[in-house]
Amino acid sequence: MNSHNWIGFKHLNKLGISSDQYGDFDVLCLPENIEVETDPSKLIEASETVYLYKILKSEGIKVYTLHDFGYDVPIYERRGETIYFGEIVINNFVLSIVAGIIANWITEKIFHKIVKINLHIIKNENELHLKYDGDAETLLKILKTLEGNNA
Amino acid sequence: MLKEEELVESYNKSIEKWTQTISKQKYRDAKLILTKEIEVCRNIILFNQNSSEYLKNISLLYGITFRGLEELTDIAEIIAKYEWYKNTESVERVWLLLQNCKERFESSFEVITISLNVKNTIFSFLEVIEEDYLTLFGPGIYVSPEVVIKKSVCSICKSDFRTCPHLPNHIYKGRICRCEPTEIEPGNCIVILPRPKDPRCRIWPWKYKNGGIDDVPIIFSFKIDDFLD
Repeated sequence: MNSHNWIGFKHLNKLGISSDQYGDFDVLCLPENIEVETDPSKLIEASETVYLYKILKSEGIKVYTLHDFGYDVPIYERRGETIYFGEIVINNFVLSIVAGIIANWITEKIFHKIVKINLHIIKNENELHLKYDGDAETLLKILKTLEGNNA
Repeated sequence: MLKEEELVESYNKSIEKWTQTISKQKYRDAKLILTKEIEVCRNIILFNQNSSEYLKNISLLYGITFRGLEELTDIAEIIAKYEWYKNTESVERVWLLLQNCKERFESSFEVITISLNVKNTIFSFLEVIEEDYLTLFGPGIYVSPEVVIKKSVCSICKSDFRTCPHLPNHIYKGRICRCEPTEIEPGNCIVILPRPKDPRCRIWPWKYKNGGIDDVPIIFSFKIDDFLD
């Protein structure tokens, strides 16, 4: 699918955030309901997204959240066994690094068995969508493959 | 000024002393050893401006360990009583202490240099208690609230958690970086589930009253480094 058609980008546009503002991104950590919501007061960010954002930033990755564009999106914290990552858009150039960081993160959280994550990998203006809701071990294998394929 | 090796040696000696004391079931004396050491850790982290970052960080990890041992001593004292598990208050208290100990030791034991024998004895002790709970009360069910954090600050610099340079769960000069909510709203629901994020929020069989559930904690503000508060 052409990446310009992804509904998340259209919704960013509706929020007044043009592609020029985030054109140089490596990773976008977006609200978990960005695909279904355009009302800024109803957007929510998964708590892990905020942590991931900070860690990626510390690794020198060019990462944006809506906060960088002036939106104060509340953090939705769930206290169950599932890790929610929300919507993560990754530029293919940094896929192996980001996949490695997420894999390390999941490995550290041994208690959490289920992971929900929506990865949008952007390569040559095309979007590959990986919607994952399942056990952490299988996701780790997928991430390792992504890491290896792009190393 | 204290040297790093000397301090670590003195902390480890206290752990040894605690091990000997608790094995004689002298719970009060065992706790006194720990209280003194916790105070040392606290002073180094909070008040000793000449201490190096390493000294503060190592004192944090030992402080967390000493707090865990303090609670472990409480557990040992409670379960030494005859048929303690028939007292609901004791059952709830030991369960909370058990979760606290596990969280503290899982964070500190990987880093500090105490003897493997002591580590293994402690983990075996905790495992036995957990197995006893499984036998006596089953795996349990738990409550877990969802919350919306509208504003939060970093525990280190008190500025916006998203924008500050500190990383969650990293240690800076003896303090742990965490997201401190300053404005919270309830989420969509409170979930009842078999595997919660916080096992302290357990629904005990005696909490079922008049067709409902009474007096179940839905959230705990536990911090492994609570001795710094």
